[in-house]
Formats: sequence, structure tokens, C-alpha cells
Amino acid sequence: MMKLSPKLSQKFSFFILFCATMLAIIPVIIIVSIIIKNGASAVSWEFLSSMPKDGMRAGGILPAIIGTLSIVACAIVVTIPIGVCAAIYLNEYAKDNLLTRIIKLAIVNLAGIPSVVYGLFGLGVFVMFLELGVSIISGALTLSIMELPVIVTTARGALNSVPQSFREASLALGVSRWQTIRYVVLPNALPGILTGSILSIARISGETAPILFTAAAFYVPHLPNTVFDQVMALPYHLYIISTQIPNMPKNIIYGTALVLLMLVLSMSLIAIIARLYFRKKRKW
Amino acid sequence: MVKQPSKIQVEKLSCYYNDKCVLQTLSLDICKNEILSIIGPSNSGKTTFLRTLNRMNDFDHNYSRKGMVFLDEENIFHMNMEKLRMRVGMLFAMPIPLPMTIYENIIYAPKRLGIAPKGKSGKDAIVERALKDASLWDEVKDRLNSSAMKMSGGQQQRLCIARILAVNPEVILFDEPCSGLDPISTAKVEETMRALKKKYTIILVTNNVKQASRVSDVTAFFLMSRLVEINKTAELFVSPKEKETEDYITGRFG
Repeated sequence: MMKLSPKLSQKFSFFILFCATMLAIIPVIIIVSIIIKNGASAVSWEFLSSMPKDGMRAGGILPAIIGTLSIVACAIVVTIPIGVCAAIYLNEYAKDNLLTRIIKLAIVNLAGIPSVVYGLFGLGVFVMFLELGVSIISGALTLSIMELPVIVTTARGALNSVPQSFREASLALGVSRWQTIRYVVLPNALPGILTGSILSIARISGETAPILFTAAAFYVPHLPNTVFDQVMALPYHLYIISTQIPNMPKNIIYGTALVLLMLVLSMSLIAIIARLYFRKKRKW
Repeated sequence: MVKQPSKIQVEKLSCYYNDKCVLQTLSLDICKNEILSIIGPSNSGKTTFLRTLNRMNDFDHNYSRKGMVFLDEENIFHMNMEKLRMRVGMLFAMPIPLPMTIYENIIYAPKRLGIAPKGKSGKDAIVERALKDASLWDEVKDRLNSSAMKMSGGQQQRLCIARILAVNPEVILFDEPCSGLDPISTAKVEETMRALKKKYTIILVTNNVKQASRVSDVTAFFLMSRLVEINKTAELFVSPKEKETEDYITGRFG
């Protein structure tokens, strides 16, 4: 085999690493640019704020946007408090015994379950067994169950990043464990919990499979009134107009994709800005 | 000399980590308003002993102990942990200011423990007294509302002392409080310790033999999980009874 000089081999390795990086980025750039190129012409205020017309071949996507936002909002209300409480318990209180270890293992593994399985679970438990029907609440609960492990894991990470010495300093003064958590650990972990939560919200807003059987409708001619209503949702709507409706104008399909993409990206952007803001404010 | 009443009595205390003995049947008395310094090489059980006295080790599941420790004739292992820690404060090796302002650092514990007065003037008084007792007041009185993280290491350590004083403890444990400090900051902390002796009972764990001889009334020498010798500092340093003590204080160890 040919032996390369140290300098050449260094150049060669850097080149390979650079190519790998490019391969990771290029598809994203291509996807985004194709969607923008084909969809930008469809996106307008009217597109965002009006009902679909002509068998969804014209008009806007307002009900899908409202549907997605309301499912996600309900999911947040359920997931974040439960997830943060569970994380506090696991990280600060739970003794390191077999049960805790099994719980921790389960949480890590739950994150690996395919989302369609969660969808079927939601259908079985919320829609049929609890008789919540195909509704915002069923979809939100399904998404919550799916997202809980992620929230617990990120929140535990944030709690872990608060130095142990802060806890000791507070405990050594005679302050109780709960007060230490409430007044020292939580305020310092909050930025991490917040950014982690926003990112997971971004993730669930794009999910299709869990809401497929639990919340999403093919077409609903009006906006939802209560959480027990069936709604249209952006990801599912996108799937329908791309595959189920003949003669669908291409720019509306791409426009819908663009709106969904923007929704998710803007949430990620908020998370990034929040993180930068908190990092600047952090005193340790 | 008149025998001072005992503040802390340790009776046959043994401590274990994962069944490994790190402190062996230790018995000693600590008098009121006295500085006891504990010297000895690393892994001799000094810090374990200190952390046992305010039960900071109780959170560690690998830790176990036998024997008894009395604070004013009350067994500390039967006391409420939070109440004990209010009475027995602890200063750590590294200064640990909480990420708050100087003022908030001091008033944090009194507020949480419910012993802070309601009004602002009462709180101000606590902060001022604590900072003055820790000889930090003059350096920081104009910037009480700036972050404690911006102070120098020595100032941070004295802030931590002030934070303990604000709770009105009876005993203060110092765990190598000067190991990260320069000589001038060390001198200031030592000076503070001597001043605190009037009101508090102090136990100082130190790696610095000279520091023990400078500040303490009584010195105990720990080696390999045992107490080798305990005596008045003046006597222990001049005429140690045990060969091991002599070797250690003259630096002939190892």
C-alpha cells in the first residue's frame, strides 16, 4: 500500500471530513430551496387565513394551521409540567435502586419507539377506550405520551448541568432539599428546560403518524370549537393534497410544505435565541 | 486551666464507604469557643469526619456509620437534619457563591429557613452584621447588589463564611478553606476565623500544618483512618507524643 507523508495524509483526512460535513448539509439546502422555489408563489396572507375551496384545490389552509396549533398547544400544557416534575423526581429525589434504573432505561427506550406505534396506542386508549373520539384532545395526549420521554431526558440534562456544589452549599446551610431545588436548582436549570421544551414542540408539530388515527380529519369545513372536535392538521393535510387529490395545483402543495417548514423552523429559531439570551445572562 | 464545657462529644464513631472503613472508632471532645484543627494526609478520614458532623454524607448511599456524636448532649443522628445544619454550618474547600447578588447570597438561608425579619431594614441589618463578622463589609458595602460570582476567590470564601454566620450557627466546620487561596487571602480568612472563635466553636480541616499551628487551640492528627494524637496545639507541635505525628509535622513523611 502507498504510504502518504504526514502532511498529505492530514490534507486527505481533512478533505474526507469536509466532504462528510457537506453531504450532511447539502440535502437540507436542496430540500429547502426546492420548497421555497415551488411554494413561495402560493404563500400569501389569504393562503394563511382562508378556508380551502374547490375540493381543497384552491383557497387557503387556515383550518390545518389552527388544527396543528391547537393540538400542539394542548400537548404542551399536558407534557411540560408532567415531564419537568418527573425529571425533578428522577434527578433529585429518586434513590439509585433497581426500580429507578428500570424507569430510566424505559424512558430512554420509549424515545426509540416508532411514532406510528404511538398513533395506534392513542387510537386504542384515548379514541376508543376512553371514548374521547378522534379529536384534538386525543391527538394531543398521544403526542404527549410520545414526547414525554424526550422532555424528561432534556430536563434531566438541564438539572444535571447545575453544579452539585450549589446544592451542597444550600443544604449545608440547613435549607431543605425541596427549597434547594425550588430556589437554587430550578432557576438555574430553567433556560435548559425551556430550550429543550421548545425544540420538542417543534418536533411534535411536524409529526403525522401519531395524529393520523387520533385527531386529523381529511376535510373539516369549519374551525374547531372545543378540544373534542376533529381537526385538519398541516402534516396530514400535506399528505392528502399530495397523494389523494387529483389535479392538485403544485404550488399549493409546496406552499403548504413551506408553511409547515416555517412553523417548525421558527420554533427552533426561538429556542436558539432563547439559549443565546440565557447563556449571556448566566452568571456561572 | 479551667476545663471548658464540651460542645461536641464524639463517641466511638466509625465511618464506612462501601464497607471500607474510612474512620475507625474515633472518640474526642471539642470544647466551646475553641478552634480544633485536624491535620493529616489525604485519605486519612478528615473530611469524612467533618461531613459526618453536619450529616452532609447522609445523601451518599455508599456511606454508613456506627457510634454517636453529641452536640450539647443531644445525639445529632437523631436530630432533624435541617435543624442540625442550621446549628452546624460548613464551609467547603472551594468557595461556592450561589449565582445571585452578594446581598441575596447572605439573606438566602435566613429567608428560606424563615428566620429573616419581615422588613427590609431588618434584612439589611442581618446582611451587614454577617458581612462585618466575616470582615468583608468594607470591601463590598457599595456593591451589595452586584453578582457574587464577580468577586475574587478570597472574597468569595469570606462571603461563604458570612452566609453561614447569617444563620446564627453554634459550630462552624471549615474543610480546607484556604486550599485555593493566595497567602494574603489566606491570612484574611485565618484572621476571620480567630475573630469568630469568640462566638463560635470551630473545627478546621487543613492540609497546611503551619495553618493549624497558627490558628488553632487544639490539634488532632489523623492517619490512615485513625486518630493518632490530640493535644493542645502548643504542646503537640513542640513535643508530639507519637513518632508518626512528629514525622508528619516536621515534613519527614512519606
